[in-house]
Amino acid sequence: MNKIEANAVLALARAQGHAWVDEAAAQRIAAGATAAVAAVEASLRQGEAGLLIEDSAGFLATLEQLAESLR
Amino acid sequence: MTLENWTLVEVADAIRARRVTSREVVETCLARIDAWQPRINALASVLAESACAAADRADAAVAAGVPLGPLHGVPLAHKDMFFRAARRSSLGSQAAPPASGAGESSLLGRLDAAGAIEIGTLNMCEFALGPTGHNAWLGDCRNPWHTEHIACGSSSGGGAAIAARLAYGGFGSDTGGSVRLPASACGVLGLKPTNGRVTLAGMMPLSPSVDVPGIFARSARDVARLLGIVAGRDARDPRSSGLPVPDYEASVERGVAGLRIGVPQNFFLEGVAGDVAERVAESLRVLAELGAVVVPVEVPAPEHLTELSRMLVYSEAAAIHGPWLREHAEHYSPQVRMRAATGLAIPAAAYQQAQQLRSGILRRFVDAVFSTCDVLHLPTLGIPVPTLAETDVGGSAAMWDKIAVLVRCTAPFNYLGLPALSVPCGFTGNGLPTSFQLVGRPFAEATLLQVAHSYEGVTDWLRRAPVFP
Repeated sequence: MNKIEANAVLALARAQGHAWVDEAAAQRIAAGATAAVAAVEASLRQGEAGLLIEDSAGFLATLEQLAESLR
Repeated sequence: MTLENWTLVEVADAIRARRVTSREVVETCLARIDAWQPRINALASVLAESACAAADRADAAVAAGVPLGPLHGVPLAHKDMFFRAARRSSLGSQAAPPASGAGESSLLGRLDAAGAIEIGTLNMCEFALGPTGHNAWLGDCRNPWHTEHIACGSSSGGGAAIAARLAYGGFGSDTGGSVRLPASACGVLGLKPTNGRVTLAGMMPLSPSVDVPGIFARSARDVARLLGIVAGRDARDPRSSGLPVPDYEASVERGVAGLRIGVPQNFFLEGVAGDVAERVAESLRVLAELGAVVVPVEVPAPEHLTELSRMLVYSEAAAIHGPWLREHAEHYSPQVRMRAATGLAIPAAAYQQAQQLRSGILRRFVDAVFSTCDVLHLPTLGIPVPTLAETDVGGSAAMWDKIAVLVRCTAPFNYLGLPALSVPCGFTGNGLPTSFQLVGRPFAEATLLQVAHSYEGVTDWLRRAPVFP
């Protein structure tokens, strides 16, 4: 996973109309975004390669399937 | 024992039995607020007039012999982000934007129906985005055990107010530890329920797929009563679960004999400060003496869970705040501004992948951990509660590392959606409270509360109160 560069953040922020994002802010944002994206990449590598077809809308159903039997 | 030190259930039962009036209880809390609020700034607003009027109505209902709800006449306080039609919530902000379409809080409606009285709203971090309790607009919330120290956040006022006996319980929100951390820092119980157990309708969203309302209280039975009232399907919230709501209050008596308590062998105990580790280990010995079976547990791939959670939170926060932030950036403090904007730089595909991975990672975690144990036992906050000065990093480069230390043991369970309960277990060398955390299978809140109830039966940490100087 390559680092998300501050200048890319700056460009994205400008494109979305966030004029307040300066170079210092872009560096902080880039650091946070890079760490989050790296975690996704690492988690993807722990699974099998292939199409990622899990339905993200099913998370509540998964919680319910795994529930402790309610006494 | 003086009235302010009674638990929520004790005071509710006493009002019902006419041993005390709701007016006496409310006035006790208001006197505490008068004394403590200037020191700790735990409340965003005090609702003295309406609370007294509600108490008088509650006492009249008792006298009339009409049916009473399980919280009849009991003063509570909630994070200032549960909406009511009749007022504007601060959301911890200098100038809270309009929250179109949010509607009245279903949770507050359920508490109202149970007879609860709202005595004030709780201070919080700006837009619930911050684990320390600093607030540039409403003023910092301070820890009642030592006012130079943080109360943690983002539901900072919840920990501080319930510890200082300004109310008998309350609700906050927990998206990365925001109930459990202030509960731990201030020495009260803090429950993050399973995602979907409690309705989100009418609560300010930070990250709707991760947010969950949480409970502050001073006994496991109090938490059980509050949870029993607010849990369950809400037609206004499609993310709420329709699974049956057990009798949490009855469950607390089940004891821990034979219950398997898992101690993580990787990640969660790494870097934990010595005196925190000692108190947490002592709590484990207490539970073992009560008959619990302590087992080692290897936790699968915990190192990425916090960042996966952040991926969801920052992306969703950026979506929610983007339009207001673009036009009114000056209304955000630097740290909140940058954290809310981090999602602007996250690729949409990466966000979607974090969502798609979530069920599989949860299944792997539950299979690996809860085939070995019934509950996981670990610290809530791995360091002694720091000072306001030590954590006042604003939007500097240090903010990510400071935040990471605070949420290391809490945020992973927000990504997983699992229930987690912070339980006070003593004090560290700086005189501030510390806690252990219990984590269970989805919807295992009753099991967590039964462990906490057993523990509090043989320890006195929850009965200790900060002393007003």
